[in-house]
Amino acid sequence: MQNVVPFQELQPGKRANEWKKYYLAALVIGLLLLFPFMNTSSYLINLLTEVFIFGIFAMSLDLILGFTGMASLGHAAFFGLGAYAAGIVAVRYSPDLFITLPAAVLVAALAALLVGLLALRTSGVYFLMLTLAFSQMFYAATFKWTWLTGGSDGLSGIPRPVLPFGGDSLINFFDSTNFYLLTLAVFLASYFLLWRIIHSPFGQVLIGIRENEKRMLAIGYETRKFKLASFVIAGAFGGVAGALNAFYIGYASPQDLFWAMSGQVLVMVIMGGAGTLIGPVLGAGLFLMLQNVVSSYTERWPIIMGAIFITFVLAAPKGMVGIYGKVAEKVRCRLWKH
Amino acid sequence: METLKVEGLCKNYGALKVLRQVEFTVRKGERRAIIGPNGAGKTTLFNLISGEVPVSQGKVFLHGQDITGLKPYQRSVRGLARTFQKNNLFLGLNVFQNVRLAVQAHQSVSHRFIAKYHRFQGINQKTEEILAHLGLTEKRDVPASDLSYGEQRQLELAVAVATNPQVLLLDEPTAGMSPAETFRTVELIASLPKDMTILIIEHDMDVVAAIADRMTVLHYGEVLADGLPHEVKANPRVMEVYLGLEEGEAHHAGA
Ligand SMILES: Nc1ncnc2c1ncn2[C@@H]1O[C@H](COP(=O)(O)OP(=O)(O)OP(=O)(O)O)[C@@H](O)[C@H]1O
Ligand SMILES: [Mg+2]
Repeated sequence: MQNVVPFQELQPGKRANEWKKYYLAALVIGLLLLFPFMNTSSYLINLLTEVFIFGIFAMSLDLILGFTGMASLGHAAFFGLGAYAAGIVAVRYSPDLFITLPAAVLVAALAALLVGLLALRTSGVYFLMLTLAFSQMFYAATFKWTWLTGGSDGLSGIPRPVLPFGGDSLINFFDSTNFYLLTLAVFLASYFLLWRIIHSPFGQVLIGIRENEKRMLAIGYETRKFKLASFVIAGAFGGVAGALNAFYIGYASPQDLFWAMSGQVLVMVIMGGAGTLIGPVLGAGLFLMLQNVVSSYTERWPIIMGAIFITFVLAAPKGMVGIYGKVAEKVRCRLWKH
Repeated sequence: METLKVEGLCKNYGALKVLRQVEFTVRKGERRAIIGPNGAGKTTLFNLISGEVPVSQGKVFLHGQDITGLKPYQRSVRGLARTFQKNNLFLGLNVFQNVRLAVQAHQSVSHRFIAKYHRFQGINQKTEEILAHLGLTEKRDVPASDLSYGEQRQLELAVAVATNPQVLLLDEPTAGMSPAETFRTVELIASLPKDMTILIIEHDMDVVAAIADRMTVLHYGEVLADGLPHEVKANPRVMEVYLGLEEGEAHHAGA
């Protein structure tokens, strides 16, 4: 047909908007790069480092929850396995970043493949329960295999990573600014990769499954295969987050795999806004900030965090991203009037 | 040449026998209407053919191959598509995305997980063509959830057509449409490729007359008559149990 307008040229307005987004992203990245050099307290540098780590973790969960439409309550398993894998390799073999990080990815992805193959035979609440059960099995294993994991004491003495070239002398990651920059780099790379995945034909299939799996089957997609792939990718990124966390605190513990950790990352995703990439990151930021502030005032911070979460779910079911959308809409309406 | 054949199809829900020994053969390019009163088992028949629901007994053949044990997606890959009586869309996605997913389904690009989807111009082009063909171009950026009911019905059809099927099952495609939309839809179905085999469940006899060259009448899960439209209409049993009831039971509530 001749009268068909090529896809992109139909929406010049949209393209201009895209550019605005790129400028904004460049600005934010620039500021984050400069952040540690603006006379920043190490408290803030460490807080932001944690936000990046848990941002990766929350984004990875959102790939399955917000983009594929599967609720998992066992995502901490991959975080924890990544932490142990990187930690064990670093302690016993080499702290080389390019060995420890791939080890974490590999172990987490393989575990996700195993869990996914079995749990994806079900869906909905059964899937949720199975992911929970599997993660609790891994949790129990970290207690049992003391020779490998250090048991209930956890695995301590995990060193910060080193680069294969130059060693400690080139970039010393024991320095909190350097470690901040490392997590920022891994975070940005993860964000970029996940963004590309979501905007690929594969990612569109995941979104289709989230919207209506039955119709996807009817039009010819073997949805289980795609759900498994999504689950494995999410597990791999969860492993990356776990490894970074182990490097950061120098420690991997069974708590990293505990269901409470799975719940916590779920809260981050939901508070920030599931089904977007930036939402989970903002959610992780808000969660960690609140936790820091509230826990400095009272021991009962979990109760207060719980109350805040409930308020969020009731008042802003689409999370922080949803609130932003609503406010932006109102502002635009106002501007229009005058 | 036979394209679709069902043999001794039975479906029971507990003690309820919804389909009993349904048999027919559909030639390539045939346009067959499946008619029958509410609850006759028409949708169930489609569910068995498309694999949404397992058969209790009997077989389904597509291009001479037994597909009874195959999953819906495997049947789709073999050239079968269907629409649903109750709209079954990607409500959170816009019209373009709905159709694009269906176009993409059979293009073996779905494993590409880093390349940007809008670089696949062939798929976008095909999607635009289908939107133009089905009169949905103006609505391309509208979320499916914001369409009127009639437009959703059209999109339901577009998604099925976009998989480029050889056999298309249409479950009451015009139900709930305005007369103008019904007219457009009939034209559209008529404009589909001549070698596409179409089965259509329809209560509106004008639509049936405009499209169908064969008819199958289902009644309480049994094939009451099967043949050319004028033969079926002249069949005394059909006149008795189906057409005789047209004012009452057989008239579709949603139509
Ligand atoms: N999942 C199910 N469980 C139990 N009974 C069912 C189920 N699906 C359909 N039925 C019953 O099977 C019978 C046939 O249903 P079906 O939807 O196939 O009818 P139909 O001919 O499509 O009717 P309509 O014209 O109203 O769409 C009905 O009595 C219905 O209640
Ligand atoms: Mg029906």
